[in-house]
Amino acid sequence: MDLMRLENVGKRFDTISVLDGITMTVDEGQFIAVVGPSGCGKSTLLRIIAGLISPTTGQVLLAGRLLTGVNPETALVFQSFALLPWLTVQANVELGLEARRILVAERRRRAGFYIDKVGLEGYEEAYPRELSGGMRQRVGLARALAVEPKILLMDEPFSALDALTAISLRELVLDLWADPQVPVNACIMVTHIIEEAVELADRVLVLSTHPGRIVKEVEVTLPRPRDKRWPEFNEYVDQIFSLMA
Amino acid sequence: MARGKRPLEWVMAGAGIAIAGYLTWRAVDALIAAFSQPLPHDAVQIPFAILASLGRLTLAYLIALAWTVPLSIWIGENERVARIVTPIAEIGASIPATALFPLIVLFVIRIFGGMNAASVLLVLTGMQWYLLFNLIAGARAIPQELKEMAHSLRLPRWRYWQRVVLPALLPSLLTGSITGWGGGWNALIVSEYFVYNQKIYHVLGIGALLDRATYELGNGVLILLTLGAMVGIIILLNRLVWRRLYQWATRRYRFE
Ligand SMILES: Nc1ncnc2c1ncn2[C@@H]1O[C@H](COP(=O)(O)OP(=O)(O)OP(=O)(O)O)[C@@H](O)[C@H]1O
Ligand SMILES: [Mg+2]
Repeated sequence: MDLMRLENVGKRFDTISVLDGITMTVDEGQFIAVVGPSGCGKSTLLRIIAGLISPTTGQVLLAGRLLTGVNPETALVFQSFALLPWLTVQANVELGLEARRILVAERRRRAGFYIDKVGLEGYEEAYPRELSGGMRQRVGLARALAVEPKILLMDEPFSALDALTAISLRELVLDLWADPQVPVNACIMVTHIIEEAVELADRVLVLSTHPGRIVKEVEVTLPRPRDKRWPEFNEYVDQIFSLMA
Repeated sequence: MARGKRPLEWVMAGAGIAIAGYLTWRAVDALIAAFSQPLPHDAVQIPFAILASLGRLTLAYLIALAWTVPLSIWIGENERVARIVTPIAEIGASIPATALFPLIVLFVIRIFGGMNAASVLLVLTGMQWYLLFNLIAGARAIPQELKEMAHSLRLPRWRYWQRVVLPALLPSLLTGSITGWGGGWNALIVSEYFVYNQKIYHVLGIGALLDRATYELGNGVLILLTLGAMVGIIILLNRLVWRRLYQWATRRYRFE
């Protein structure tokens, strides 16, 4: 069953067509990666799915209903983390729960639960400036998970991190994805690193540029955890690379 | 370095020290003579004058905050409003506050019949633009991803202001306040004392006292005392209030 469907979605900024004829479904239980050259409209697509910007043409359907305004079933993880420097880890994670009029005790409990899930137990009262980049993105993940979205959206979530930190964050995301206690039904991740897409995703959408169109959808059927040294892994990488080049 | 100096330089340095010493001695001598006489009786007004002026500055500051904070938040959220308001504000800011004073005084005295209102209004014109421009810059510097984050978490508008916008504005609010109070003190001196058609309008205030000591009384000691009190209170405010607030705000409320 599909959670979401985009039908012939296009987006123009002034006269420039950024996205064109995007038709895709977000299926229950699927991890989708969106790859494409820089400036091809990946972030724009993600923001249309989040309901932050509306498409110029086409429509976005959420469980069969036309989406207008912010998508209530999604939460975003940002490249630059987007944490509030003046709030503690706990308060940052509670932000989305505050907006939902959830009682204080339940808010505390739920934020604490996801802070533990991302491995930040004991850092509840720390401020973002006291944390490393990797830990900050863990806070970003916990904040998004705390509102218990059906669809988790991530825009280049690891690209501001060093290589080793990015590896451990990818592992964390896979752990959370496999965790039955984390009620996320689908995941959409924008990335420009093909290996990252193949490592994490069930389905890779390859976008072209000017305007951004879906060139191809590649199903990745490898079992997890995936190893970059597998020949099949590299076949996927090569296939996607040749689609982008 | 001193070894490389030539005799002429030594002579000049010596002459300089001698002249400076002589002038200092004369100044101290004059001050002692002046202050050994009984203090001018207007000097007792100084504390009250300071309080009255502080009251006027505070009132003008609150009025300035009341309109610049909401306007800059609005501008920060709306690019179109920014394009309309910014040039208007630039024109407003480029008119020297003191040039407006005769107009304001005549107008306000006619309508409200009070020099106090005119004075506060002039202080306001000397203060508000600093706040406005700093706040607008602050509001527009809020990272796009923070706005998107708040939006996608569906924070209600007032929650968004409370959690995101107002804290993000704090450093620029304080920069604007420090420069704005500077402009306010500047305007204050001309705002409390006004001569029109051979009639003097003035209020109780440190600016008025300074003007009266200069134009009416011609009392050097009173001028010195008033100036000293004013400089003292400005330095005190800067050290005890603004600097501390600013350091606290830039430590806690800055994006890295
Ligand atoms: N609000 C906007 N107004 C005008 N043009 C925009 C706006 N947002 C994005 N664009 C343009 O749309 C194009 C696609 O932008 P987008 O950020 O979606 O690309 P991207 O694939 O995420 O790029 P990157 O890999 O650099 O993150 C770019 O050319 C960008 O300049
Ligand atoms: Mg992008």
